[in-house]
Amino acid sequence: MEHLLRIADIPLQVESGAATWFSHRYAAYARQDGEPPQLVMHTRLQDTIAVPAGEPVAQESGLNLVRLADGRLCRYARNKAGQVVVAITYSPDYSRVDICLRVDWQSQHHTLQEYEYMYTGFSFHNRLTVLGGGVLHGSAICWRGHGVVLSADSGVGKSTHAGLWKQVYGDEVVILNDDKPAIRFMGDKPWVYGTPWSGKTALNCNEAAPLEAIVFLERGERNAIRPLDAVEGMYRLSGQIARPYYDAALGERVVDFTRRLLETVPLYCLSCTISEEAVDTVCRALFPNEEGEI
Amino acid sequence: MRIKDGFLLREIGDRTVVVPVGAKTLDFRCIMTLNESGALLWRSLQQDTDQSALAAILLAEYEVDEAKAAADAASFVATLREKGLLDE
Repeated sequence: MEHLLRIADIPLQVESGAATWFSHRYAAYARQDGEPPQLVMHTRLQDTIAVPAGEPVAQESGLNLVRLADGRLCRYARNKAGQVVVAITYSPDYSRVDICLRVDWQSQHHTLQEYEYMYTGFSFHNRLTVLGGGVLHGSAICWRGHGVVLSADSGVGKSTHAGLWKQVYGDEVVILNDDKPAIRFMGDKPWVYGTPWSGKTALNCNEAAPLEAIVFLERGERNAIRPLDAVEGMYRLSGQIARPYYDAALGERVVDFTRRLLETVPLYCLSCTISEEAVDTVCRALFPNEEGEI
Repeated sequence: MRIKDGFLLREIGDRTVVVPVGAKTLDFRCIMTLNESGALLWRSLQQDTDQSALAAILLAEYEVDEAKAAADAASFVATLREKGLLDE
């Protein structure tokens, strides 16, 4: 099924394999205009997938990378029986992505539609990177028009903290994306966008906000926030923005995007408990002129 | 000797950081911070060179004696070698 979408202000054309599930996920991002897509992603479910023929580029993490005769990159993986279960082919500028999934691929970790979800998300990230943006691992919220990303390693409590904002401020808070928000620069200003790829939950919406702060969360005994200097900021951002191992040039774009974020967005580290006071600590530090509710 | 391919040098404020990209991302999860002299030596090591040439650079750029320059160059090279960052 074909979807015409606009995500982070990028027109997409997406052909999905798991049609029903993705129709639901993509519904809020549908577009009716006739603008040519800047990213085309086609997913096909196939009974068998031929081993991609090309010049080997790398073999890492169970994935093989080959350069096809027409210049495109192709990543593929096999199951224990040696059958190709996924093959993803990228045009050089990542504007066209073909994802082939073996229809009987079973994994203890993910369903077929979850693989499609992940690979389309990665592909969107690649194209966004080429266009000068990026995807930051975190929960992005918009509070009274202020965009904030709450970032941390998995399991620290990003979603929990975003939920506390909803608990305190209700409809004044919009969760743009609960896992991997998109960030783009409009002129010199960074904006954070909701996208359909929001991790295990469907907590996302097709809205955007000027990105005014990134807060790295740590669990603590009490609530305290401090600004980060450039080097610590670079360390922390680099840990939460994926750099593709299979393309050094794309990785360089990720690094330059990271540095641009560092130069334009204030970064903080919040040591926090699971409490409404943690929300208040962030509000007071980031937005001292706003009246709080606590 | 020279620095392996796959590392980017970037100025961040008044510091210099080294970030792995491409396949190196799998082997080196962290980024490294260099001070001014470390960045100078790293840049020199992006071309094929040797330890005595690095010592000569330190001697020319900083107010140090030959023994100090040689010791600092040796220490820097030893650190890079220990972390597997050199092609030799």
